[in-house]
Amino acid sequence: MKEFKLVFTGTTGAGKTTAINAISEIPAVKTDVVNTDVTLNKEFTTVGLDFGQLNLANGDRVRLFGTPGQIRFDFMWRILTRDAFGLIILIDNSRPDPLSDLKLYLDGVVKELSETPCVIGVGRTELHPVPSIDDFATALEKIGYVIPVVPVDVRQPTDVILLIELLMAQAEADL
Amino acid sequence: MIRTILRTSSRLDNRWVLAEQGECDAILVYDGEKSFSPFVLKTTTELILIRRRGDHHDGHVFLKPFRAEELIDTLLNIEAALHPRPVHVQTAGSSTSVNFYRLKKWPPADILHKHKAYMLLAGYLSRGAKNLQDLVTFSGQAEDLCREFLQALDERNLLHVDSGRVTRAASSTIPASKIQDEKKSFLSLLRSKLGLSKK
Amino acid sequence: MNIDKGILAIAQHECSKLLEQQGVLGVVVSSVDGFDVAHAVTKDLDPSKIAAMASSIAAIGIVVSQEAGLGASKSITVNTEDGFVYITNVELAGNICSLNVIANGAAILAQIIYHCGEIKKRLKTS
Repeated sequence: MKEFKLVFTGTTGAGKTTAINAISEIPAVKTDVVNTDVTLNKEFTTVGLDFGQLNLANGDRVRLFGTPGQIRFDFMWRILTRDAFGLIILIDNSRPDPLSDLKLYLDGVVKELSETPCVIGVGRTELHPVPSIDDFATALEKIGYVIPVVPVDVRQPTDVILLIELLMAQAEADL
Repeated sequence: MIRTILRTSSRLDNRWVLAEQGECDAILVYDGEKSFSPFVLKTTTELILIRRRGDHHDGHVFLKPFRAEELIDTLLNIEAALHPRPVHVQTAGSSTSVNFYRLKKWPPADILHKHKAYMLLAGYLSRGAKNLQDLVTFSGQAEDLCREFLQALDERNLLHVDSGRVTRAASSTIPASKIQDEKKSFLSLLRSKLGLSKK
Repeated sequence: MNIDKGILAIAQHECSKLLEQQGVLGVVVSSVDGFDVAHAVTKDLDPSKIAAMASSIAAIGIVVSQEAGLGASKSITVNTEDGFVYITNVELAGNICSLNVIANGAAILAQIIYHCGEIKKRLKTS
């Protein structure tokens, strides 16, 4: 039996836990604790990792890991992204500076980006259309990256599956 | 870093090794380097210049900040020129393309929204250069659709095009390694699990 | 986390006292979500990093103990070649926090566990 790792990272509140829950075949394991940071409008926050799983027909497994969002947990980003098959960066477009957020997370996983397929999902774009998806693509181009960037509602399994499908396209292109 | 890339890349499949001296097929040098000792250059030895990303350049380069995939692409190109193999880009119609395309930038929404398959086609082009036949094979989409997509990108200057010469062997001519087979099998099973199928 | 300054000062004092024990390199009281609340460390240690890492370790310990059906997680010990890290729950003004001790090989784990138990009692009633 082989195990493949898929990692969800990105800003706090972007829906990493929700995305894992949307597709996991087991009840997601969460390490959520009470949030004491008054600048975050949420009751609980992930401090360790989230974990879900997909079981493949031959017995292999896809392990779905979610990282904590806050930068003080960047050591967990590095631990969890090591040897991942793919990396999904979720950005919350309702935050003050989503483009800077993106840069922060790209910097956090810069070692993995050359070898690991990566896709960026931008959430809450309907109520917060700026920056646009094209703005993200332009920002990525300026720092030398061509990474798929798509609007997502991670509550919808189809949206999460689209992100994974884009990772698979890249993985296939790497073969 | 170079040694690790050569050892771990499934695309290179251990065909390249890092030498400390002697004859070599390719040599990585800083721009302006005059002496190549202790290496011995053959007439076919290719120079790969280390340069900064964004600088103007011709020929083979390895751009800082380094990206492993780019070096791998370069080595595959050199390999194809040194050891030409039959390239199978047979297409359904009479048209044959050996141009290789790579995205400069993730395409804007107005292009991607023209067809539901376009987003995945862009995904294939976001990592390494691919030709039209690669796109058809990977995506399972019709050749015309793939060509229209490439044209739409080209019209907006969103593609790097390496045209007019064969720059690497078609993937179908390279024997698949065990790792590649495992990865293909994994992708196929995951696709099935997620209810995805190629057209 | 809004904790009375007097209680924070007591926590700070407890950290400093524990740091005096042989082999102890750092003592950090952290919030469950990884913020440094009080600390006393030797100059090589970054208390904010320790706070975040301890919070992750503690959270993972909680889900592991739940998964194993072993009840609530009370403490975690990371034994290393040259010392150990001991993480345990502590209550500070009604808030559950972590008490994290980093020590080298000169420290005796049992003594540190004993001292942490005493600190927990004092902080709970402070």
